[in-house]
Amino acid sequence: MTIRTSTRKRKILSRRQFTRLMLTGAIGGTAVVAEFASRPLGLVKWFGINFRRISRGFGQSSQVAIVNAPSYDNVSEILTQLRTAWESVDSPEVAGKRVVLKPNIIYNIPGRVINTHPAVIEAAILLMREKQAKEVIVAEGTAYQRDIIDLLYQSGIQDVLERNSVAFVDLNHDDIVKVKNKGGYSGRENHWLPRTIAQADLLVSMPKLKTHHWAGATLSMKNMYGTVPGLKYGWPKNALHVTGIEANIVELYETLAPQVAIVDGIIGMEEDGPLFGRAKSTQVLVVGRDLVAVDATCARIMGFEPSDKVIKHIWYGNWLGQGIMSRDKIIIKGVPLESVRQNYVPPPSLDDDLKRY
Amino acid sequence: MPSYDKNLQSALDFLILSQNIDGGWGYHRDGMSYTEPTAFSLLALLNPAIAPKLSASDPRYTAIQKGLGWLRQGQHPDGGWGVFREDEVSAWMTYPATWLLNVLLRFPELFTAYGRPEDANARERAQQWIINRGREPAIDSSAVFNEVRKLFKIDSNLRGWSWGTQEAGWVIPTSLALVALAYNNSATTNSEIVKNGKDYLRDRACPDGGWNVGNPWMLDKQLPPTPDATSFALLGWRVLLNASDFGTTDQLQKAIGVLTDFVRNSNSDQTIVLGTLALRLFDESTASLDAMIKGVTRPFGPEKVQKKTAKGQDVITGGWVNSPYTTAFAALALSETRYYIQPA
Repeated sequence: MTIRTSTRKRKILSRRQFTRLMLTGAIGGTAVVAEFASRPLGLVKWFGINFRRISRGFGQSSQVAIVNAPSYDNVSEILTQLRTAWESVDSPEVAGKRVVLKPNIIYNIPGRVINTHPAVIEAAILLMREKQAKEVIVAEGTAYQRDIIDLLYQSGIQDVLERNSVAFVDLNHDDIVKVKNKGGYSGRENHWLPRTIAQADLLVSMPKLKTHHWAGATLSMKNMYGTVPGLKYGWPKNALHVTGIEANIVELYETLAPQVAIVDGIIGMEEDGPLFGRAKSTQVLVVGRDLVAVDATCARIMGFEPSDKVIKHIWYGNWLGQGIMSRDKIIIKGVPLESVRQNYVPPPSLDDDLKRY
Repeated sequence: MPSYDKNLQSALDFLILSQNIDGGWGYHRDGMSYTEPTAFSLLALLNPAIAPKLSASDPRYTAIQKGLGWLRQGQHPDGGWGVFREDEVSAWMTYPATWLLNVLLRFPELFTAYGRPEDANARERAQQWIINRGREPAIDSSAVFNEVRKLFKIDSNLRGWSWGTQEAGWVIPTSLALVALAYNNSATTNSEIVKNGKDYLRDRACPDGGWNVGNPWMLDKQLPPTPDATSFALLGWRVLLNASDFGTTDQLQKAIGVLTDFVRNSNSDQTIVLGTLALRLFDESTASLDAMIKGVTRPFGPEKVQKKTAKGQDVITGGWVNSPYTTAFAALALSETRYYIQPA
């Protein structure tokens, strides 16, 4: 038997105290849940992304230019169309800048339209010089072989480089510098990038309009995979695939210098891209500085709807607030999208487990 | 047989001139130091017919010591090397660094002049890293195995070596890893791991000959071979060859044929040099050395003007395309002996 020697008063919470306690618990609980939910981004980044998305809802839009370009035969005509496209959108200032043109140069397989055409590259070189770039460099870190020289000759790009006295940099064997990862989506704190890329004032992504059996399509954002050095990430760069293709694509977009896209869609590739697909005459060039919007537009030209997540990195780029995917927020300059839309045969869909191959 | 000693000596002089202040070498003269070109530059300089005779006052002697110092300081506690000194993650350049240690330890005259007591332990730790960390992980899913078999027509039970760690294997790092493990080491050559690696190379060969990154097929289509992968695979193959490799398969002959065509038609000094090095391991004919040294002239551009596309050895500097990396391979090709490759 317990003998009470003193009287204890039972503490009773007042309504105010109880409300405060519940509120504190709710806030704390929400913060814990939000912190877990926001990983690996972290709360600060997560709030930043949502702020970007909300502010985008208040009238932001992006401009993308689509122009007709019937063939590769005449560089002057391509330049004329490219200039029209460039000047019809909010293209970045080029004067006084070091501009790096980054085309897609992978393989030379007879009969396959794999690489960015040299005529489009030449037109871009001439345009950048017209716009008084301080320096124009063509650069690529090709994915399937260490030595790119023969590819440059076989593709006709070497001829363009020599005729225009433009330097070419093999990004796979350039000096490497550490660059802070601005994304944080792949789990990497830093990126190791070629010095040429790190020191560029403006990067011009010049992809081919192609399907891709891992990413859905290889367009201006995926094209920047070729900036990462093979010395560090291998040949091919599947080290990036296994940490998430989409995560790495959007992360690179966020980390790299200001970018603009010039998409070679004169002849694209459908079916099993990026190497073995079928040529598809599309006769367009697409230009814009919002690469999410450019890629979304290119996807629609190919007959794919990006909001269906067929090409996931577009959806993620939009979700992260990096750019605009929504059709009604993209202002198309030049020819109407509907006039050039086609029905590309989609690539085969491959299991994620196979991405290390 | 003509003597290429002058060309060899100029090439080695170029390597001395292009050594960086930190003791390493890069892919380009004045480019930053990386482990791979440093290892191959040292491999070229440590020619047993030349290096042991150098006096301590010879610039080549100093360069070798400095380069070895760069390499030794770069080895990580886990036994591997990064791609460059600031790279804290061990990766594929461990393979050429280990290859270099193999050669240093193989020749007593080299070791006496340039070796250190800790080099044997360094090589042992490196080889353990190669086996435990560089080798690709096994597939533990029969569904994935079957899907890989179906789509890429490869046997994923055969494990190669990766560019990084715990990643898929690819032909070039596998070839380098096999040389690092099997050079002058018959016990390792017969080990299950190396045999598995050799079978990996067989499995990943392109049907019409040669190798590419490691996908001979991609969704029912053949991916063509490339000269670099074919060259490195032949280097690896040369170390592992035994009598059973001849006659049972024409894969080797097909690869040699493919690489010969690449070298004959290439505009790239790097491809010509590396291809020549690999081909000379199977055919001592010196015809390809002449093309490597003199360069090639081909019709170029829309007007098909004759142009020297591959420049050959620079008569002033002694190097190839101002690259220590390419020049190191050229020096190995020019060497009278194949000291850097030990047939099984």
